[in-house]
Amino acid sequence: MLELRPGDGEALYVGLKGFSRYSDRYALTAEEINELAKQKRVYVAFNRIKSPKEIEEAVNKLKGIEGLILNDPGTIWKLKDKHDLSITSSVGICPTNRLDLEFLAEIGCDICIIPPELNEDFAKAKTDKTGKKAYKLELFRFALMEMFYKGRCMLTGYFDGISTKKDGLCTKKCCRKWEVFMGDEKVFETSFPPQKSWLRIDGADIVKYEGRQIKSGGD
Amino acid sequence: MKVDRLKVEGIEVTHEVNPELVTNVPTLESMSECSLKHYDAVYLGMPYCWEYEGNLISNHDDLGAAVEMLRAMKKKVYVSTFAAPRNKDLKHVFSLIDKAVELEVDAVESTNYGVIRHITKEYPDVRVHTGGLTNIYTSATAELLYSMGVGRVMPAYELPIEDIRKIKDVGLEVEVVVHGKIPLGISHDCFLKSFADKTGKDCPYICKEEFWFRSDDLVLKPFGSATLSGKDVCMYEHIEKLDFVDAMRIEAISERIGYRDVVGEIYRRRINEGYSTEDFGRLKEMAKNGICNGFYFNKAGQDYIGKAGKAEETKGVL
Repeated sequence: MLELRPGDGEALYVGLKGFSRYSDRYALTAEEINELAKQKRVYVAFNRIKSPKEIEEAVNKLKGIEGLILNDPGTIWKLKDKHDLSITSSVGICPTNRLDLEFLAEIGCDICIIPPELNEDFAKAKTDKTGKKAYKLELFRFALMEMFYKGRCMLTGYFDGISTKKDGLCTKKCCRKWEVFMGDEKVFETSFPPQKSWLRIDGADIVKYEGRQIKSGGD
Repeated sequence: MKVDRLKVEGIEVTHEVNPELVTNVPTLESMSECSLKHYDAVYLGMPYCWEYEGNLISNHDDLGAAVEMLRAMKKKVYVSTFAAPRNKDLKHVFSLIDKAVELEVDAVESTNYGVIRHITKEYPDVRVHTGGLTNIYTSATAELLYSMGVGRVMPAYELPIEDIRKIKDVGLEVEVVVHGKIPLGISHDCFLKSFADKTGKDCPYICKEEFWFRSDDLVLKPFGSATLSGKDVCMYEHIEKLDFVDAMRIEAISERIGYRDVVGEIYRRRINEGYSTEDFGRLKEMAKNGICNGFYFNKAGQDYIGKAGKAEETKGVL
């Protein structure tokens, strides 16, 4: 996933094998990340749920990186003071309002990503508030809008025994054809495939383009 | 209370447990003394839609009457809050919290970290419970919430028993769903509302109908901004495996009064008197789409593992 900061050069979001969502196919080893970090500003995604200890051990093998993307509030809270790294809260934490962002900043987040469905809510919030924010806001410019908020879907675990949060894989049950029944009567059929969407980014400090799911054909 | 442990690998064990049996009700209309008598505590309000007709989180007069009724029945009273509040919802959440404080309820439940933090900071004397959609996956997050003053957590629905036990070890109270339909996702909007043209029913009346999404043998139940499991999670046969928890919830927010009554009665008998083949059969009959174990055994959430440890087909009576 590419992160663009206007006037600030280019940074890369990469996944570490075994710790990144969707699959390990495009994730990198610690050695590959360390090599990349010599040339670019690299943020490493640890967005599968693991224990803070497992994540800390993996982070200790990384050299020269800029920051971490984490998917569990307790892990953010535990790791914040152990490293001098920027912490981004993954969209999987799914903050839906300004209190969530204040909470995430309080426990140690420097950058908060919000669900793409809510970009407009936060554009308005930014114009309403004059105070200095304790966090940077990262918004999707392009994203897949899914059946549920990102990080709030358990269909893969329920139907296939694979937790998207813990194992990283999604079997896209939303894309099936679903018959809608009212009581015992079938009334129509529908499906909930992810919708490619271009979004307003007013109020963004950082802009993000979702890409991995599109490249990988849905895993 | 004594629970007779089932024979496990030929050994029969007895064990003392005293979990709180809790349920949830969406509206004053859905409350009856009869249906709630089996429970120790009740969560009030439907957390997935403000517009749900009669929702106790939107109707503060009804909420006051509901609290009064439960107090008269000597039940503990908890108030649920909206599950995924956006900025525009916060003023309604604040108003609800103020009302809950005024009514001196026993706890306020939230599934939103921002709201949880707001309550623990602004109302340090109010007891806070966190619901299953808070996404508490690690004992580190449970520790964080404990440090903030949260009294009870419901771990993420996806966690197996061994991970729930680790969360319990943190020191706060743990509540789990032992029966009913669990939420599997939450969206920013309501699917049912978008069906108005195709069904001829509009909000809020569309919620009076029971909707299902079916795809081959997969079933889901849309309900407000949440989508619930089609099958009923059922831990009736395995309740001793959860004997370390502080509260067992019968999840009945989308069910009719009779469900809450019968399931509560059966689980109360299970806790006090032990296993009954007849009661278990009744639970299976009541589950229109069958029963499952949820995520407690590291399997697909819709699977059912029976007391013999084997997967079972459990389609209910249609």
